[in-house]
Amino acid sequence: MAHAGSAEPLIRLRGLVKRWGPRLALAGIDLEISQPAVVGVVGPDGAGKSTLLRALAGLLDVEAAEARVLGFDLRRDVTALKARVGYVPQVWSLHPALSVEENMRFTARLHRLDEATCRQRTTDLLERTQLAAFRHRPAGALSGGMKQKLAVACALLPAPALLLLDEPTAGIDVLARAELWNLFTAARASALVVTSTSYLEEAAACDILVCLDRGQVLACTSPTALRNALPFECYRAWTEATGAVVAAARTLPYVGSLRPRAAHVRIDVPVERSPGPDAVLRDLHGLPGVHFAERIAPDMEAALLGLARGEGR
Amino acid sequence: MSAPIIRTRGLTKRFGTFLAVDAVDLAVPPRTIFAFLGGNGSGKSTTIRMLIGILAPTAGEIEVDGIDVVRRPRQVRDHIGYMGQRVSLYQGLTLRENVEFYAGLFGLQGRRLEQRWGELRERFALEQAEGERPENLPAGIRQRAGLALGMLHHPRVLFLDEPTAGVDVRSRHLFWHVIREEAAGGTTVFVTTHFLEEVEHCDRVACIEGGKLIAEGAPDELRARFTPGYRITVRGAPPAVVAGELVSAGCTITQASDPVCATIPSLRPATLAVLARLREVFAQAEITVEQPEMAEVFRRMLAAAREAS
Amino acid sequence: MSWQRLRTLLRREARASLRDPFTIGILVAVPLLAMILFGYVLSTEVRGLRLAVLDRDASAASRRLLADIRATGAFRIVPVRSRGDIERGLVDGRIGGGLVVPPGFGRDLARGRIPEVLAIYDGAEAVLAGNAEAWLRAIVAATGATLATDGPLPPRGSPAVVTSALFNPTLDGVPFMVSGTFGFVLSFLAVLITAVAIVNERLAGTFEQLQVTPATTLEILLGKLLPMGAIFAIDIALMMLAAGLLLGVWPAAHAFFFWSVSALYVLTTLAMGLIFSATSATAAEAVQKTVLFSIPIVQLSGFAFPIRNMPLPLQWVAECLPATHYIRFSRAVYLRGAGPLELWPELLVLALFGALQVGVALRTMATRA
Repeated sequence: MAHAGSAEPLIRLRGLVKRWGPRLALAGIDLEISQPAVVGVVGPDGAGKSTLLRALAGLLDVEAAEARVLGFDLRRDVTALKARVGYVPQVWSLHPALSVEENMRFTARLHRLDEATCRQRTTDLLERTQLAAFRHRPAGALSGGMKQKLAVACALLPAPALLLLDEPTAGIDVLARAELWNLFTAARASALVVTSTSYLEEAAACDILVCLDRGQVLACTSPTALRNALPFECYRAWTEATGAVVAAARTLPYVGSLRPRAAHVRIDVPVERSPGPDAVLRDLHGLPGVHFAERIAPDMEAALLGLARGEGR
Repeated sequence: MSAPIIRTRGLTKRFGTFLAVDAVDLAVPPRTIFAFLGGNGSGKSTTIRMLIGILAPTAGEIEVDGIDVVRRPRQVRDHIGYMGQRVSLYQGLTLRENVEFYAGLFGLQGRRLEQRWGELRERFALEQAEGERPENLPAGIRQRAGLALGMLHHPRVLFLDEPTAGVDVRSRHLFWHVIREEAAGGTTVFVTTHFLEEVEHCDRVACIEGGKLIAEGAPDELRARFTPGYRITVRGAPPAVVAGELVSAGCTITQASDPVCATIPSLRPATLAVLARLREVFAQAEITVEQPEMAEVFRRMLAAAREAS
Repeated sequence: MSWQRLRTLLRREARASLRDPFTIGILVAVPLLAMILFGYVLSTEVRGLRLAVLDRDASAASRRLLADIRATGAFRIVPVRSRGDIERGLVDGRIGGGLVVPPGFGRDLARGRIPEVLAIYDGAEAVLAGNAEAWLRAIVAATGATLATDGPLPPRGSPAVVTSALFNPTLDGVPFMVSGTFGFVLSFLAVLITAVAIVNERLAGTFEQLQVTPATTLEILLGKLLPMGAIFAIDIALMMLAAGLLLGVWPAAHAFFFWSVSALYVLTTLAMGLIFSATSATAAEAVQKTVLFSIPIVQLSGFAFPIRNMPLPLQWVAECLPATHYIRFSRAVYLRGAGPLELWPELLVLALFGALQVGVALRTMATRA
C-alpha cells in the first residue's frame, strides 16, 4: 500500500474541527488507525458521520492540531491523497444513462488507468460483485442493491488505499447488504475501509467501531471490547407477559434498565449493584410469568445505550 | 383470532406497465404490532399509501377499521394516524404551533387539546422542545414529535413508515417503549422498518419483495420455518440426563457429550420449563439459549424466495 | 367544507409566511421591480428616432413644422436632398423614417387648402412606427395639413395607434406599458412563485401528512390560494401606487374597480400555479412548466405586441387566453377610464376562465396524491 512513511498510521487525527458558520459539525475528533481494517462509524443523525468521511476524503477545509490521512496533511494540498481514496457518497452519484461497463470505464479514465489495467480490474470486480451478467444494462435500471455494488466497484477500481463509504447499505434489502459486506471484508486485504452504518448487526461485524455523538468521538475500539467494557451484567427472561414481568422486575433494587420484546425481557444490572449471577437468576425465576432466565453476553444495543448514557468509555 | 382491523384482498397497483404491488392479501389482528418489511423498490411504500387512502389501487379491496378505503378514502382519516418517512413538521412554526395546526384539522381545540397534548408531551418528553422550531431539534426529538402528532386524535390504527430511520439508539429504545404502551392500550400499530432486530418487538411480520408477499406470520413461526431454530447449550451437568430431558421437551440433540447442544424450532413454555427445572436440579450448570437473529431469518427467506422465482 | 378547518389552514399559512422574510420580500419586491422596469425603462415610446426630412418647400411654414417636430424631442431631424436619399437611408438602417414636405406647403396653408405631408418609415419596427406615425399625424394636423403615408407599413387604422392618438394625447408609451405590466406580473410571476412555493412544501413531506387529515382538497386549495391572493392583492395596490407616484401613471378612472377585478384575477392564475406544482416532482420541473406555459401567453396576450398585427389563427389563440382579456380590461381602465358597464364582456370571460381554472386545480390536486 503506497503512502508516505511506512511507519505512520493510516489515519491520525487530533482535535479535528469543522465549522459551518457558527455550528460545529466536528468538535474535536481524535482518531488513530494504524492497520487495514473494517472501521464502522456509528452515531445518530447529525453526529458528524458524513462530515468525518468527507473530511477524510480531503473534500473539506478543516482545522486541527494534526490531520494526516495516508501520510498526507488534510490542511494542505490534498490532490495526491484523492488519487488514493475511493469514496462512495450517501446519494448514489453514478450516471444512470450509462451502462454498468461504461460507468466503470468512465471511472477508469478519470483515474487515468491504462486500458489493460482497466479491462482486467473491471472483469475482476464485475465478477466479485455478481454484476457481470448486467454489464450492458443502464445503471439507472439496476435495483438499489446492485446500484450500490456498482458504486463500490467503481470506488475500488483504482485500487485505493482508503475506501470511504457513507451509509452504503441504507434501505437495501438484507441479502444485498450481506453481499456488500463481503465486498468490504475482501477489500480489507489491501485497503483501510471506513464505513458508516445505522445497522446494529453491521456495527457488530466491524473490526473497529468509532462512535460519534455531537461531533466528538465517544469510543474507538473493537465491538467486543465495547461490549465487555460495559459495567453491566445482561440477563434475558423468557416470558409472554412482558408487561407484568417488567413491572415486577422494577421492584428488584439492583435492576438497571429493562428492554422488553414480544417474547422476552432483557434486564441490565449494573455490576456494582449486582448480588451475583446466581442470586439474580434465582430472583428472575421467581418473577411471575417467567418461564426461564439466563445470563447473556452484552449485545450491541446495550453497548451503544450504555455509551450514550456515559458508561464504558 | 378476532376480526382483522386491517384487511386487504388481491391488492394490486400498476403504474403503466410496471406492476408495483401484485395481489397482496393482508390480515392484521387488532391491538397488535405488525411489522411490514421490504427493501426499497419492493412495493412497500406503495402498499402503505394505498392502505391510508392517498393512492387509489388498480384492483383489490382494502378495509381498515371496518371502512372500505377504496370507496371512501376520506372516511378513514379520523380512524388512523400516520407518520411518514419525511418530516411532517412545518419549518416556520414551533412545535406547539404545529400541534395546534394538526389538532385544529381534527377539530381538537381548547381544553380538550390542552389535556391531550399535555398527556402526550409528558409521555414523549417533549416539554423542552415545545417552543422550538423543528429545524433546531435533533432527529430523535423530531421523530417523537412526529409520532405524537399522529396520535393526537386517538386513532385506532397507527401507520408508521420507517419511524426509526436516522435516529440514535436511545431514541429508538424510547420510541419502541411508547409503541408497546400504545399497543397494550388497544391501538393497532402497523410499522415498517429496515432494522430487523426491531421485528422482535412485533407480534406479526409480513415481508414484501418484488410486489409480492413472500412471508407472513409471527416472528417465531418464521424462525421455525427458515432456520434450524433455537440452539440450547448445557454445560456442566450430566450429559445423559440433560439429553434425555431435552429430547422429552422436543429438542433435537446435535451434540450428546458435554457441553450438550440441541436445537428446537420454537421455544414453547414447556421447553423453557424443562430448562428451568434443569437449572434447579443442577445449580452449577451453565444453560444458554441462542436465538436465531432476524437478519439471518430474512436472509434465508429472501434467498428462498429468489430461488423460487 | 369546514370553516373551522379552513381557518386552521389559513392561520398556519399566515404564521409561516409572515415569519419568512425572504419569501415575503420576493413576493413584494419582484412585482414592484417589474412595474418600475417595464413601465419606465422598457416603454415603447418614441425617443430620438432619426427622421430624414426632404423639405421641398423651404418656406416659413415648413420650417415651423420642422421646429414643432424637433421640439417634441422624439425625433432627430436629418435633412436630405432627394427621395432616393430617404429610400437608401431606410434600407441602410441609418434612419428610422422619412418626411417629405411638398412644394407649395406654406402657400396652400395660407390659402386655406389642406396640403399633404408624406411620411415614410421602417415598417419592421411595427410598434415604434405606429407611435411615430400617430405623433407625426397629430403634429401635422395641428398645422392644418394632413399626413399621408407611403412605403412598407403596418396596416392603417391600427386600433392601437388610433386609440393612442385619441386617448393618449402626449402619445406617451408609459401608461401603455404600465397597464400591460399588471398583466405580465399577475399572469406570469404569480404563477411562477406559487408553483415553486408549493412544490417545495410537497418535497418536505408536509403535504403528504396533510392528505391524511380530514382536510378536504377544497380546503387545502383555499388554504393556499387565499393567503397568496391576499399578498398579491396588496402587491397590486403597491404597484398602482408605484406607477402613480414614480411614473406619474394613474388609472383614468375606477381605480377601486381595477384593483378588485385584478385581485380576483390573480386568484385564478394562482390556481394555475397549483396545477403546475401538483403535477411536478421537483421545483425545477415546476419552473420549467410555468415558463413553457407562460412564454406564449406573454407573446400573445397583447402585453408588448399588438394582437391585430398577428396572423389570424394566432389572434384566435390569443382570444382563448384569459391574460389577453385581462390586459384588455387593464388598458381600458388605465387609458380610457372604462367602467364595469362597458367591460362586462371581458369580465364575463375572465369569470368563466377563472371558474374553469379553479375547477381543474381542484381536480388535479385531488387525483395527484
